[in-house]
Amino acid sequence: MPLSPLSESESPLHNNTNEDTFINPFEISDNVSSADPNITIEPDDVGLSTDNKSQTKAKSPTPKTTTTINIEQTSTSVSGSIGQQTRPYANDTLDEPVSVTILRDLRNVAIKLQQVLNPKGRRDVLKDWDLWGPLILCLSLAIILSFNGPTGQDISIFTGVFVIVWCGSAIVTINAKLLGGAVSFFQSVCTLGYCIFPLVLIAFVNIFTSNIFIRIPLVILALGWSLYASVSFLSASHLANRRTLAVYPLFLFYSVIGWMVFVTGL
Amino acid sequence: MSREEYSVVVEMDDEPTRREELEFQDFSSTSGVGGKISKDKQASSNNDGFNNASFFDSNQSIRNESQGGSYPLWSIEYYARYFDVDTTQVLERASKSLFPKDNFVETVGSNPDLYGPFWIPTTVIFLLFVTATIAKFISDKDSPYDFIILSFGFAAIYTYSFGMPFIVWGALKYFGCSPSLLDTIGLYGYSLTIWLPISIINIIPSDTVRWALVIVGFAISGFFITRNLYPIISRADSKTSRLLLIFVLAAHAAFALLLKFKFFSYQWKPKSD
Repeated sequence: MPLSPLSESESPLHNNTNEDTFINPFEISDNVSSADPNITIEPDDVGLSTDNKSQTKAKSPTPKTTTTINIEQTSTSVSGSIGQQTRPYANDTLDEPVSVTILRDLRNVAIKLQQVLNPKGRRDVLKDWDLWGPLILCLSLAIILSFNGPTGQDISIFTGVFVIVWCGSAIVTINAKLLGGAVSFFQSVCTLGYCIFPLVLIAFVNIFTSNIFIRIPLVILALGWSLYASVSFLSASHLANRRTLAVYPLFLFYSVIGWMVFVTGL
Repeated sequence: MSREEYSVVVEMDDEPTRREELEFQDFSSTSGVGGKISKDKQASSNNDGFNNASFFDSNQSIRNESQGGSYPLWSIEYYARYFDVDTTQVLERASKSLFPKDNFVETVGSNPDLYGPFWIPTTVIFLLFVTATIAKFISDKDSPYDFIILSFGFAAIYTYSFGMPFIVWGALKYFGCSPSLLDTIGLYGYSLTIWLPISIINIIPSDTVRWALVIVGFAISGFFITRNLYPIISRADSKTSRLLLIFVLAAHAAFALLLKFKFFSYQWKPKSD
C-alpha cells in the first residue's frame, strides 16, 4: 500500500526525464505493473480521477490514469494512446514542472531563430507559431535601443519600438490579407517578429561600435537578411500582380527598424 | 492607357473565381455571368439586363457581388474591396497627383482604394524621420537623433491625412454636394506623394532651397486637392460653399508650414559644452 503512491508519483517523473522512450503509454503501464503487480486502486484518489480525468481530458490521460486503467481493461488505454499521438508533445505536459515547460519553449524559440538566420532554412518551422520569440526579440530590441538612445527619450523610444514592432507586423499582415493573400494572421505576425532577429543582432553589435563605415554595411546586410527571410514566406500567399504592394510595407517596416538601429548611439 | 486598364480587368477576374472555389459559396449565377460581362461589355452594347452596370466601372459591379457583398462589416474580407488595386494602378494614381492635369476622381473611377491613402502618409512619416535625422547630423554632428520627430510625424500626418477628409466630407455633405468619403480620403492621401521627393531634396542644408521646395509642394498638392474638389463643390446651390475651398487651402498652407518648421528647419540648439 505505501508503495503504490510512490510508483504513481514517480511515473510522471519518468515521463519527463526520458521523453523519447515513453512515447507509447503501453510501456509505462507495463513497467509499473511489472514492478508492482499487486497494485490496488485507491477508491478515493485514483478512482475518482479516472472517472473525471478520462472524460475531461480524453485526449491525454495522465500516466496515472493509464496505469490504473491498464490493469483493469486494456481497451481504454488504446484509445488513450491515439489521443496522445495527435498532440504536438509526446508526453503529458500537465504534470511536468514549470522549468521543463519553459525550457522546452525556449528550445523551440531557439530552433526557429536558427531557421531565420539560415537563408535556406525550413520555413515550415514557423507554421507552428508562437509569440514568445517575437516578444523576446521585441523587448531586447526596445531595451537595447532605449538604453543607447538619446538621454531623456528612453521611455518614448521603448514605447515606440514596441508599438512599431507589434502594430507594424499586425498592419503588414492585415495589408497582405486585404490584398487577397492567403496568410494566417498569427503565423504571419510570428514570422515577421522572428525575422527582426538579424536587426536585433546588429543592434547589439552596434553597442560596441559607432563607426559609420562599419555600421552601414552591417545594417544593410541585416536589413536584406530580414527582408529575404520574411519575403520568402509571403511568396506562398497567392499574390500574382500585387506582390510589390504586399512586399513594400514589409520593406518599410524593416527599414524603419533598421534606420533606428543605425542611428542609435551614433 | 486604355490598353493598360483593359489588362487589369482581365487580371482581376480570375481572382474572385478562385476564391469562390475555396469557400464553397454559391456564386455560380452571378460570377458565371459576370465574368462574361466584363469582357463583352467592352465590345457589345449594354442592352441586356445589366444596364446599371454601365454606370459603373465593369470591374466594380462584379467585385461588389463577389468580394464585399457577402461579408459582414466587421470582417477583414469586407474591406478587401478597397484594396483591390494593382501595383501599376497605385503608381499611376500617385503620379497623377504629382502632375494634376486630369480629374483625379474621374481617373480613379468607381474603384477608390485605401492602399495609397494609408501607405503614402506612412511612407512620408518614415521618410521625414529619416531625412530629418540625416539633416540634423549634417548640421550638428555630435547631437543624438530625435525620436520625437517620429512620434510627432505620426500624430501630425495621420491627423491631417485622415482627419481633414472627414471634415471636408462633412462640410460637403452639409452643402448638399453628395461627396464620396473614399474619394476625399484618396484625394488627401495621394496628395502627400509630392512630399516624398521634397523631403529627400530638403536634406540640402540651405534655407532658401527648403522654402522654395515647401512652396512648390504646397502649390502642387494644394492645386491637386482644390482642382478635384472644385467640381464637387460646384454641385452646391449656394455660393457660400465656395468658402470651403478657401478653408481647404488655408488648412493645407498650415500643414505645409508645419512640415517646414518641424521637419525642414533643423534649428537644433548647439550642444552646450
